[in-house]
Amino acid sequence: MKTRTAPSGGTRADLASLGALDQGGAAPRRRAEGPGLKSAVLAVLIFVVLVAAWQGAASAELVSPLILAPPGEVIEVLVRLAVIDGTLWPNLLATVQETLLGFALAVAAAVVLGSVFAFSPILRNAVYPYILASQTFPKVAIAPLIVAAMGYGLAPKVTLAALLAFFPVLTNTIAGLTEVSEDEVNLFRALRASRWQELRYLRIPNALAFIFPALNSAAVLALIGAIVGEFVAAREGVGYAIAQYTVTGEVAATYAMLIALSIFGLAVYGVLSLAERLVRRAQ
Amino acid sequence: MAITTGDRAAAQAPPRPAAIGIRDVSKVFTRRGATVRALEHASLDIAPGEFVSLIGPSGCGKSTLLKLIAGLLEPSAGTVTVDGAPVTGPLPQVGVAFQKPTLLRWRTVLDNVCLPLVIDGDRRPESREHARRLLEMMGLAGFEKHYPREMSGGMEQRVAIARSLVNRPSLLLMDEPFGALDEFTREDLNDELLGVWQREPKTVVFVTHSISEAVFLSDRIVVMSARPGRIHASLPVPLPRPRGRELRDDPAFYEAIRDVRAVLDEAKGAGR
Repeated sequence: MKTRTAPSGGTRADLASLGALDQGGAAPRRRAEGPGLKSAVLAVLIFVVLVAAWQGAASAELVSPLILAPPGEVIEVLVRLAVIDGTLWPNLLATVQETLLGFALAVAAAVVLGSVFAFSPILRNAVYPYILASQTFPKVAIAPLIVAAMGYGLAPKVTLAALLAFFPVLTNTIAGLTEVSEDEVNLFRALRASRWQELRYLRIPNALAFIFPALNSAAVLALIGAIVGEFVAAREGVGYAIAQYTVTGEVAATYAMLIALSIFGLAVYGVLSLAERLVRRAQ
Repeated sequence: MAITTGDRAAAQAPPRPAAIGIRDVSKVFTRRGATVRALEHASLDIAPGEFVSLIGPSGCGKSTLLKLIAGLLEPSAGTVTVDGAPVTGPLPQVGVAFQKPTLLRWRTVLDNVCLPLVIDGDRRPESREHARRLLEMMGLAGFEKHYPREMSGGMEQRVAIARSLVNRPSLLLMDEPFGALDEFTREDLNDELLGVWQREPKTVVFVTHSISEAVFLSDRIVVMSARPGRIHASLPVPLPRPRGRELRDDPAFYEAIRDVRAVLDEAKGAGR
């Protein structure tokens, strides 16, 4: 999963749609609400079908109950963990903390280093091969090593989360700052823009369009890093809990944890989308 | 007579059109060890207020010549002067437009037009008002808050033209600005460009592939030949001004096109 560097995904799509719209007349973007409503209905339908299939597979015992718990039981356990005994919260909180810290560290380091690389081709060419090489082995493989070096606490999980999240943000920061067209650079030169103005009005806004899509994959990767760290050695966390439940055969609890994680993931996605919109508006 | 856009008083009244002098200019590029003589011994004088088109086959150096005047390239030999002063870099009194509209996709139409003002540090409301008026002149009233992605190619190019005019340049340099547009849109934009130019006289150097466009717009057409890029001929366009749409149906218009085509064919032959 670490080859998911997704450079420039967002902007490329934007440019493609831009080209397609060139032929159109005024404001061809807008569409009736019809498709939105249809999509919503379809989404609910898919959900119902999936849950029904899940329930069906569980009650017909198509899959061993040691592997698949029925949805009703999962919800029941989720409610128990969240409301009745409350053991969900310390675990979820630990994982959220590790993920967010790792994510923040990775983003800060990647944006700073990416900017340095973007403006120093010499440094980029010298250091980049090493960073690339460090990305070609699965970092989860060194999770035990990191735990051995850093102990059982927060540090190894944050480190793993950061290591996994770092790369896509780095590549997209470099791409966003450097991939401006010759015409754009010439325009700014012809306008006698200073280097700072070129950065402020051209390269940074351009880079944001690259960085925000990368943040989404970085958040997912940070979560993976944190969970793997917990698998190896931890006293709390979702990964730790899932490992425990698997040993004790509490299948439904494992699924309940996964649902809690997806809700967290959706929340992160929502916050990132909101942040993107706010930053765009401030431009 | 240096007129700068930084000069607040000058920004109010249109500045006097610029004069261009090109003296024995050559430009050599070295790419991957190969030497390309993009332009050789070019000499050309452009009078203040003149509308001059550069036309010729691909590789004739017309875009290179334009970039030399814009100060985006440095000549390998010879000198380029604007209003008598040698060009050593981009000048403040120059507006530019490229083949691609090159709008910033995260800025609205009005904010794109205002970009040169922002770079100049010109925050006066009347400058922004001027930008609005230019958009109106280009037929884009009501589109100020739209984003480039919501517009067609022709509309984007109109925005780019308005942007090139916003700080009242005395010299407008246009590199095939309508090259990517369909014939009808191109003619509309030709009309609008002439309208703006007649209202606010300025020197224009216009690179194009289209003979009819060059004839319709220009006072003079400079025909260039390729490999190496050279100025082949300089042809005055003997059509009266002001020019409007009806000129396109005038036999004199077709005759002028025929004359330019003949010289252009000659220039193509010379390049072989």
